[in-house]
Amino acid sequence: MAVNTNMPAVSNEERLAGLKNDKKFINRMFWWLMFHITQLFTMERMMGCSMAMMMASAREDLYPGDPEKQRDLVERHMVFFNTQQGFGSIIWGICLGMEIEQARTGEVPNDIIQTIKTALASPIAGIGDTLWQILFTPILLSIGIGLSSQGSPLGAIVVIVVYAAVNFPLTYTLFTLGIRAGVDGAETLIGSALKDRLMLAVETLGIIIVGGTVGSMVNIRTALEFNINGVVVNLQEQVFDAIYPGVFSLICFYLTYWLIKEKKWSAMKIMLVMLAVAAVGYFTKILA
Amino acid sequence: MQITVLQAILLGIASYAYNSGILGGWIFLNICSRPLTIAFAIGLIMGDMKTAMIIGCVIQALYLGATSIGGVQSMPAIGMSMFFGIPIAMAASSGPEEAAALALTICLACSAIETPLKSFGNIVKQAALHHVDSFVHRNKLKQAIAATYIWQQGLCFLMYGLPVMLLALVGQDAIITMVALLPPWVTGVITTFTSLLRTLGFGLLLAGLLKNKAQWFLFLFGFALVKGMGISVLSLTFIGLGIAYLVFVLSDKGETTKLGV
Repeated sequence: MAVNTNMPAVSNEERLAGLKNDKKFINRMFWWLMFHITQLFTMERMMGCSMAMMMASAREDLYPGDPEKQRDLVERHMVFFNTQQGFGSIIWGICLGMEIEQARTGEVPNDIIQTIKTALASPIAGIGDTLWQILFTPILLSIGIGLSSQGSPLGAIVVIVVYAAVNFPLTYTLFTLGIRAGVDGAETLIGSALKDRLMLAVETLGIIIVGGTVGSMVNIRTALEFNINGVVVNLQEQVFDAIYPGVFSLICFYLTYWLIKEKKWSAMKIMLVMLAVAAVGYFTKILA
Repeated sequence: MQITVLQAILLGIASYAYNSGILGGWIFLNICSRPLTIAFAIGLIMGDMKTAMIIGCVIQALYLGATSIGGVQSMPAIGMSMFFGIPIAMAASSGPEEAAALALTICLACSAIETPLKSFGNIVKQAALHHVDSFVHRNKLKQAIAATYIWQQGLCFLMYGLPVMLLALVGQDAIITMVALLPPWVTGVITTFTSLLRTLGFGLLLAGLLKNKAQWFLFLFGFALVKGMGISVLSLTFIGLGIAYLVFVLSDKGETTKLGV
């Protein structure tokens, strides 16, 4: 078969420009990032090492055969960096996109890349920590508890599958958006009304689910009985349960909530007090 | 039930894998540190999924609102302790409720060891980071990447894997003997304590969710459906998703966004 020698060679500049739409390159970088993020988190640089190692994984794509530039690429990212990993994948993508531009044109100084990286870290961490750590994950776990509280593995399986099914496309989409759209993509994420509407909807779901799971999991009872004119009155069944099922648990739950929210007690302090209350409650039969 | 040598080894491997980021990286890392998913692995290894999941749910209820922001944990660290605390409790107890109370006690007690162990690990990681730095400065980038993984994985195995293997084997006899000697009132107080603790995790979570007092109606709505009407949490989830979607749609004030939603 004759080899077509008339195909034009792709210049390095064209090759670099094509990287932002090169699915193989993006996929490779994404998976390197997914594993680098979990390694060597330190107080000194937090996730800085993962940013540098991602660049190290891209060194031959950005500066093929140029060890000096490859070293400079990695060294300038061995600095402090911290954000929420999932939503923050857009920042890793933005930095990679900017380094591609720098390799292509030489017109994106390191100062700009570091400034943008630092400027975006906090607001995106705020969105990510709120939506992911405080809302989505605990709500999903509440559902898991509700499904597994009688011993079924279904809750754990649902949690693992749903978590990955949401986390993977979210992280991949934001990483790709960062590479291709750059800072514009991040501004869209931070500034859009969509995020506020999403948070309100997720909060609504979360509060309903917490209510249901408290109903399902919290079962605090009193063993107190009173003898009134020869009639034994069981406080739990004949008073509290008669008012509404689970009302005694609800009162106990509200007391804990009040200590957290109004009195601002720490979790450790509440646990110690609960231990004392459990001891007194057990011996006095106030708690069963 | 006794923890066998093979089970102790598998528990150690699971503890290392769950804590090292090697299982699918960031995709699974965060969910692997949760009592519910840890209990699932323990249930598979110990061959008693029912007891493991009941214990997992009790501990998860306490740790529902636990966060790790900026490397700072909001609750005592029990990521490693669960891998031997839950199996030992399963071996030492006669029923799931008692096992849950004992597991929680062991885990919280062992967090006193796990927390300084993590601090020691952070110091070692600092040294590791500077070792990686030295490879980068000398332009040995392939070695820099390798060093990152060797340090992290090696440390995780030594901090999370090996101790679990040893404690699961060595600790079980001591704890089983201790539990057998405990007077019934101690078990009773611990069980009562565990039932109270379930309110803490949910309370912490709700304190973060509730923005105004009117939202208590949403909480009571969920509570009433499950406790008063007996519907399952799964059914409540579907109802909740429908309501959340309505809120999402109705909160659209017509502002356009670049995403066009």
